[in-house]
Amino acid sequence: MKPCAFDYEHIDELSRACAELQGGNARLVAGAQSLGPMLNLRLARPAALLDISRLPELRGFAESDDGLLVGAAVTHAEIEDGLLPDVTRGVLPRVARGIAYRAVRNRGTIGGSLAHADPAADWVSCLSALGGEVVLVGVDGGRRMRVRDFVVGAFHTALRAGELVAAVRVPRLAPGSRFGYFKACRKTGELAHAIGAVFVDSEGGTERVVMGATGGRPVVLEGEGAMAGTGWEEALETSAPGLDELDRRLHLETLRRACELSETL
Amino acid sequence: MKTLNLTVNGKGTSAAVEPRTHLADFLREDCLLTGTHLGCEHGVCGACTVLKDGRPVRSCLTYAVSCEGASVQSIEGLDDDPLMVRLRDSFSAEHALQCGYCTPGMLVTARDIVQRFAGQSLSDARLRQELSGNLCRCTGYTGIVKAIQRVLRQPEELPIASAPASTLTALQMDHYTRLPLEEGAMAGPAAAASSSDGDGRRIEAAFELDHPSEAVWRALRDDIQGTVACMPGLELRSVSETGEVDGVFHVGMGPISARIAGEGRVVFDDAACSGRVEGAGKDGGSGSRARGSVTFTVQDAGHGRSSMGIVMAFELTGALAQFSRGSLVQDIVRLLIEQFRVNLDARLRGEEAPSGKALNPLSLLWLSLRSRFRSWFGKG
Repeated sequence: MKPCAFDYEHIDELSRACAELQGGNARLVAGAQSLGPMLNLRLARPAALLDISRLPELRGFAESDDGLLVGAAVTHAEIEDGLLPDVTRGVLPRVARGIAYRAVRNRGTIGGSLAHADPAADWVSCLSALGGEVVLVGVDGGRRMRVRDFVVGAFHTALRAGELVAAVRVPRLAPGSRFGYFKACRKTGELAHAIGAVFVDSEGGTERVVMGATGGRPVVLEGEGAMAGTGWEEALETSAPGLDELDRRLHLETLRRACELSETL
Repeated sequence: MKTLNLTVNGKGTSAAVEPRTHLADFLREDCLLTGTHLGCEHGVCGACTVLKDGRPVRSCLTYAVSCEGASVQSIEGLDDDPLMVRLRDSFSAEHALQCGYCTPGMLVTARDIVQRFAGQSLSDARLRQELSGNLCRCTGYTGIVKAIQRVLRQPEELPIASAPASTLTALQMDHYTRLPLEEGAMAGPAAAASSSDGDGRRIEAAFELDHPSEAVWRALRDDIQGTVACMPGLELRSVSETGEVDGVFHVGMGPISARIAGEGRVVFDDAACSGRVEGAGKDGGSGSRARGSVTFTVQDAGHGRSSMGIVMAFELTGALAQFSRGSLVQDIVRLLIEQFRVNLDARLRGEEAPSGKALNPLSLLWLSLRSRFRSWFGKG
């Protein structure tokens, strides 16, 4: 189908994007690979699209001792191709490679994917497990949030009016830490029905598992023994109530496989 | 209309386009390059894959206006491309096409795969993963995989130009790390359980109200408009004496907004203090359809309190259903029921229902009923 009519504007200044987002029914786009289908199917009918994909301040990175800041408009393909300093010992490129298809990865961006907040998006689960953060910039300044707090529900984030995701902060992973990722998709490249992610850094005292694509925000379990599986069912029941028996078992099995397949980095 | 300047198949082109025109339509309708095929038009099938600045993109998910200053190559522009010549020959040799509808997209994707994996040994399994974004519905993939492997395994025939590299720059972002880290406010989920119910979904929820059951039942029973006004996004256009209703349900889920208009029926059972609303409707914008029912029961919970049980069963078809996979809708309904509880409680206390906007974390459209209510008979 063809989308409803909308206005389209290339944004050349970050502050202007924030200002324009404050009023009216405009939506930010970078690659528009998730919003595009909704527009074409006329499920989303915004008055205007504000294209921030060319903003230079969103198209780069900054490396520091404790991690990496990734500009929001960096594409999945660029991460897959290793154009960022590898602070995650290969985790980011590996997860990027599994997102949709190459033609989609060439346009879809890490910031866009988080702001769209599809519960089945890979970065939502992966970065929740790694302890990633988003940098939010608005008209009144900025703030940071952990990805697991930022996504509050299906297509629903903590973004305020006039605020956008400017960058994503990825922590530097220590040698010897462990990461596992598994997703249950009906077909390669389709949005997942369940995602399991696990991250363990014994030296830093971090043990975290994530059940993603539950339909709401990611279910995160943290602390020693999180990988053991004893608290998974209870966490799913508390944080994602209402899953039917089939979904519940799919999520538990998917996380079990993520743990089983996890590797030392 | 926006003025668009870009290069199409090596030729500078300038055109006035509507912002909503996607690149595939621009190529086909404005440039008359009909080699770009449209299958699904929402990014699933890959038939419309073209090159933008040397990289494959979905032209149905790429608006033409976003290609300002870009270089676009459709299948026609690759006629004399040495690698494409080899791929075409190989597709013929291996019977990698039958009806040919997916072929332009397949070839563009295949060319990218060969460029990115030139000189490497690529397993058939990995090649199929790389090809998974392009659907073929007749030949099957065996011939296509063989054809691409044939080209990949003879890299000496012609040097293969590598895929275009993009550049990312190191930026000064120190100030970001000094921003305050804000903790999220985790709202506790309401008690609700859902299950698959045939083709549809069934969601059950229960909550207590600090009001006697008779008062709650009277409020629900005697003032349908008031009850409906407690549900965010629900608008009743008419109600007849026999319980036929006509209304609209506005639902918002992030960027998705649907306006489901339809008809239904309300039945009350005074003896059991329970009611049931059944209805079916359509979202005109997306052509999606919904049908379902809400059953509610009020019971005495002692000490002047009451408990209310709600069972919602619904079925979605069309575009809306595609985005309602698994339990996405569950999250929305959970919030709707929670707001219904808060609003109903306020109404029973004789307060003006709080504005939907302040209460509503999902930006559901809140529409006032006061000015819109008309009686069923009033229409005739």
